[in-house]
Amino acid sequence: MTLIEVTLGILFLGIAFVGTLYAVRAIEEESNVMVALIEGTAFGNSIMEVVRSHNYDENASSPWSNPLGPESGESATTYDDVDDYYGGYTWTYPEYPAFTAKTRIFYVDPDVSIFDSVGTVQNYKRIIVHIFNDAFDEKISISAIITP
Amino acid sequence: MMHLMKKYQSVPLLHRKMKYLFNKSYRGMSIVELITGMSVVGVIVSSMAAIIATSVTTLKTVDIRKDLVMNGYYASSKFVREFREIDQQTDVLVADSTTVRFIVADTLTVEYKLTNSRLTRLIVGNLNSSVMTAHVDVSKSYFNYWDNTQTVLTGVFLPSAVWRARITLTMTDYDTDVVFAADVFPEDFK
Repeated sequence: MTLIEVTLGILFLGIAFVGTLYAVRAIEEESNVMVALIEGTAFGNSIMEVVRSHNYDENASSPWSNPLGPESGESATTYDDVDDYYGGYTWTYPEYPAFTAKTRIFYVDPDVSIFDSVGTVQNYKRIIVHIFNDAFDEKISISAIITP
Repeated sequence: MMHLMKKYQSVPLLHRKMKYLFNKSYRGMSIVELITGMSVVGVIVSSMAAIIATSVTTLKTVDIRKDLVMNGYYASSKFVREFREIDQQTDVLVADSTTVRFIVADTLTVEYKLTNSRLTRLIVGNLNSSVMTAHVDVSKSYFNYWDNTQTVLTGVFLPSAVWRARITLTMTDYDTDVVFAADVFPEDFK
């Protein structure tokens, strides 16, 4: 073989090899995203369960509190109602170190919209859990509406 | 021309072949060229093999991790779905770090247990447990419980004090560890 033939051979081999590596990398990334989605969903569901396990409101009966949020002197360990986690409370679990989550809670009026905040006291609160991880570009969100 | 042809044909065939082989232009490769070529190919192949081996190992690890996560998700989901169906706090019969027994929707008593590298589920009254998932590192897996003031229940406590539960599964296979946690709160407790 001539030097040109050898060089061309090595070049083609290199191109094919790089292509193979890219394919392997793509498979790996796809699997990582899938795993992250499952873990993220489990993480988000757990947070939703924790939030839902709290009382509907600080007050035992209507009128419900407004504005939403933790009462003075309350901290994460003493939150006692759902809306204490209202304004972007950040969640981390040691079991899911690659994930963070934020919760939003607001009143909704189903006669107006089940998605948007109405800003006034209602018998419905919407809980949204946003889950973040580097593996997926967009956050994933889980939401629910609770009643007293 | 005829003279030349006659001269050529007069040379024996073997002799002609020998002359062709030992002609300088067709002598083949020298030992130095062979060794250099083999060295270059060796370096290329060994570097490719190392990278391919790493890729294969990575893919295998990803695959194992995927299986562990799927199995953990399935097992914990089953537990979460059943625990959520408890009607009242007194239906939680046993609650410790390795075992939880409860009555599901007033109809079925089930027991989840972390034992022998497995999470098992037993319908109380049946002889055999079903294996919800294997590959569980039991020493690093446990159930946690909270009361209705969101305080972690530790030490000795009444199972009926349980308001919320969490299953933490540490799953392991071929040196790959996955930790999976799921909280659950029976809505009917409110």
